[in-house]
Amino acid sequence: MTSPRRPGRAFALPYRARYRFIVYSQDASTVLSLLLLALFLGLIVAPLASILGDMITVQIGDEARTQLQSDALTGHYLERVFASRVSHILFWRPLGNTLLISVAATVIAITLGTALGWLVARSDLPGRRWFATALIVPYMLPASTYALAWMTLFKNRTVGGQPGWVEAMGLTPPDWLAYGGLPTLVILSLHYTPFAILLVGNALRRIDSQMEEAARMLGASRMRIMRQIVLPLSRPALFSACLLIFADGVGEFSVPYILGLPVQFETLSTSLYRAIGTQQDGVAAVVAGVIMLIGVVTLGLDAWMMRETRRFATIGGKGMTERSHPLGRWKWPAFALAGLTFLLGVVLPLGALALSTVMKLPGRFTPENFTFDYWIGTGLHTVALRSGILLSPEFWNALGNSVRIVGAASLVAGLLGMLVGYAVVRSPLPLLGAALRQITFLPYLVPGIAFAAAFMALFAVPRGPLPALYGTPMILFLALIADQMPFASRTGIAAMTQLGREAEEAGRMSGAGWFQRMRHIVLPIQRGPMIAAVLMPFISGIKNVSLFVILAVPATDVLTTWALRLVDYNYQQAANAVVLMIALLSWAGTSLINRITKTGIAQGLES
Amino acid sequence: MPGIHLSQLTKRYARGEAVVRGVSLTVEDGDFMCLLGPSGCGKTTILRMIAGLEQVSGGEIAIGGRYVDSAARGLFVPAEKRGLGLVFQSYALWPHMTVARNIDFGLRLAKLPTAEREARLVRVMERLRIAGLAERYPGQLSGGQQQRVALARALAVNPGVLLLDEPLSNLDATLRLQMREELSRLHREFGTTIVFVTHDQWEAMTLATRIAVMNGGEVQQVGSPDQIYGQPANRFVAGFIGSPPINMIATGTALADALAGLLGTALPRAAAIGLRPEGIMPMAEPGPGRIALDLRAVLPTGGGWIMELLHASVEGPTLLHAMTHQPPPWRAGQRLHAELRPEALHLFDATGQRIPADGQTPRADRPLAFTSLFRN
Repeated sequence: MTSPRRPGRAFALPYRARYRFIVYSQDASTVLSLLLLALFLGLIVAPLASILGDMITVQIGDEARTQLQSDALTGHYLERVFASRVSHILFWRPLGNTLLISVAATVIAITLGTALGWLVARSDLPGRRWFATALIVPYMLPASTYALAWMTLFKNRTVGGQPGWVEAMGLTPPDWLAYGGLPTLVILSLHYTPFAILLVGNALRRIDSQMEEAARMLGASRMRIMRQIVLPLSRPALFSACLLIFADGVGEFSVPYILGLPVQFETLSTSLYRAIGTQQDGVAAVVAGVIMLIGVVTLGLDAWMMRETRRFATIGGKGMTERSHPLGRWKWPAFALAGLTFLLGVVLPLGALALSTVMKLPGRFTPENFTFDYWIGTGLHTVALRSGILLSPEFWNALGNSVRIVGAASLVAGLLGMLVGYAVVRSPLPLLGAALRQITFLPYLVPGIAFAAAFMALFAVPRGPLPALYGTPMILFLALIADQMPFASRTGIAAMTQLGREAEEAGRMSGAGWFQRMRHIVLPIQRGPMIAAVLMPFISGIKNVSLFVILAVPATDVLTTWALRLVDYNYQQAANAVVLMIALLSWAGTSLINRITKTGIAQGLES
Repeated sequence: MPGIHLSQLTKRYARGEAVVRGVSLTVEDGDFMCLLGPSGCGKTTILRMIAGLEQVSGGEIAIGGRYVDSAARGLFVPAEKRGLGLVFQSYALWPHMTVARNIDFGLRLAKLPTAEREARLVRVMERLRIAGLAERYPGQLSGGQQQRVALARALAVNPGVLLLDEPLSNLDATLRLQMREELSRLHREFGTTIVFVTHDQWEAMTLATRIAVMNGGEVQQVGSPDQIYGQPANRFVAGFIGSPPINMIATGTALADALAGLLGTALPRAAAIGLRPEGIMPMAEPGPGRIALDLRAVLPTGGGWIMELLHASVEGPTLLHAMTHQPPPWRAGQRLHAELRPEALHLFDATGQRIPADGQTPRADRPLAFTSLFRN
């Protein structure tokens, strides 16, 4: 062929531009990245920016108090929260409680979890395989399950309605045992122990037994090996577990809400809830900002530490051996510890809850006291809820809402997660990919309750073309999607990174355009991760309390908020029954995921 | 017909150095062309640019007389519209489709009638001897089977050009030989233009009709396997091809002087003399034109023997490797006297370029008459 003359310099630019256009337009990932970026700017960045703005601008209704126009800059809310007569009640005491509970729960959970994690991963504990699953159960259940179980057992005459079992048996538990900080601490410790077991257990499993044996060959004692080999090697996992548990504890809402109310025990999240409930939007913004700050700092610390520790990553030898340590005479005491944890963490609370739903009066074990009325009864002599929950329209309505809203949001989040993964991995503009990755991860740093407050701040009033969304399922749907993006996008990015380019390039060589490649090759190959990216958010959404409690109204009640409402109305048995149903759903779903995908529970439950 | 014409091809990744620098190459219709070079030399990038999976940074690609990628002309045809076949190094079979579905995929996209599709499917699967595997999934196949499926997938649509990325590198020794024969057979039977990429000289020498040796993003030499081996264009090509590698003797050493003495002429411009191992023929007795060498060790390689020979001089000993296919009857430490085959000697100037015999440009079609160098 002849080699035609190069086009003249004057024409170079239009040709270049045309070339760029053809190259970028043949591949939809650029357009896709831009669309996703716009979506998440609106869904994630805007609410967070809006609540940060609310901290320092005059809110509607506060013009008189601040003697300023609404939307003017003001330090009023900061002053009210941090340095006013009420800041003690509003902020400082809740902050103290929050930090105390979170730190203490972290310490207990880590101590107990490390011991159990080691027993399950590295010892000859009797039944260790069974315990490996059984001890994780508390993390599959919503924390509110435990709060209600506690109430069922220890509720005293301070609060009206049916008393707890202990009270009914003639012993009046003191308030400090029944409500407030102590039970919150106990419950959160039990709730987070499985998390420590998973993280530390996994880290221990990755340590090659040969490292310990090498030390033993040099004459090191067992204690010394533990102190100088095993603990230093699992330290990154330990720190990471500490920080994640602490961050989760700071944002925990349902337990202090249920157990703190009778004795005015407030944490930051309940204080935030109360501020929103009393229309103090500016104050709410400041409290939410503080919760966010704690979350960002903690998880930033975690990320920094992870990067630091990667430098001394365990050197993976070829022959990874895993030998279990004989416990000797500690065998049965260790078994007792594991058994007791299971008893306290699973059997006792679930048993109490289950029993309470079939007993008319608490703590009385006579045959005529048992009934299935709270599940399937009709014509009950109560003010509201005159039938058992399984026959009440409210239950099915709430269940329907839960499944519909959470289901739709999870589907969308899962699909978006895959698309984000695709865009991040394939985007020809690396900056765009990095931005998407960071933004979709943002909600992870923000505890649910603060995120809900942020959503409220942005979408409660009409914004541009959007009508006011408060009270509609739409706001729940959008908030859930945003809240679930960290997990969904991480799953998507991991899956797409693993897929590599070649499967898709082979499709191009066969003549498939972008949509055909997505439809026939990329998404079908990613079926497994996609199911995980949908199911996992679904489960965490079903048991989610903090988002719903702020954004749901009675018309959009879901199972969790309806259960809280039942608690407030003192329908203890019905509330327990509902929470049991949530626990059942959550447990079944988690088991299902573990069966379908072999991804560890540890990753999924973090979100 | 689909010849491939690359002119002044350049590829530069964002803020990086160019990985391909001004490569011009013509692949004639029906060629079995190999891009050979060490890893990182840009050969795979060129293959991907021909395929349309990467864009050029400069220069042009034309296939069958039609520009498919030219930034200066504002022309770009994406991979899915070029109608080429590519077999990936990893095979890139789709794990969620059966073998038949994998192969059928391109035929479906081409919107061929069902009967035609089925006929082609059966034909290509028979050709590649995978007819019995139609309903299996890629995960259930051995490496060799996977590769046949990947080949069948690329060939089913009758591509004008077949591109292969390291086609034999993932196979074990027996399979390599078998697949090598099959690829040669396919090339003969289908008459397709084939371009393949490899870092393995054995693969290149045995498969290709023409080889382009690459290094540092540039083409070093293009020619038939015999030309590449017999008349290396520069020191890189001479050193890259051949196993054990060519002996390079810097000029100014005693050995080089001895060689020059042998040749009976000064080596005015030569900066190095290359001496192929099989060109050294050690013998027990001294004779005219023989160089004295001490045998250090004999290393059996299965089919032949590598001899480590030392040439003693005042600067210290120089190590030479010689290759024979007869078991050497000598013991280590023995003094031998080597005769040199003239066609095994190659001269290179200070820039590393070949110095043609008698100052002439080498003719591409016949080996150099090295004997003319020997005046005595």
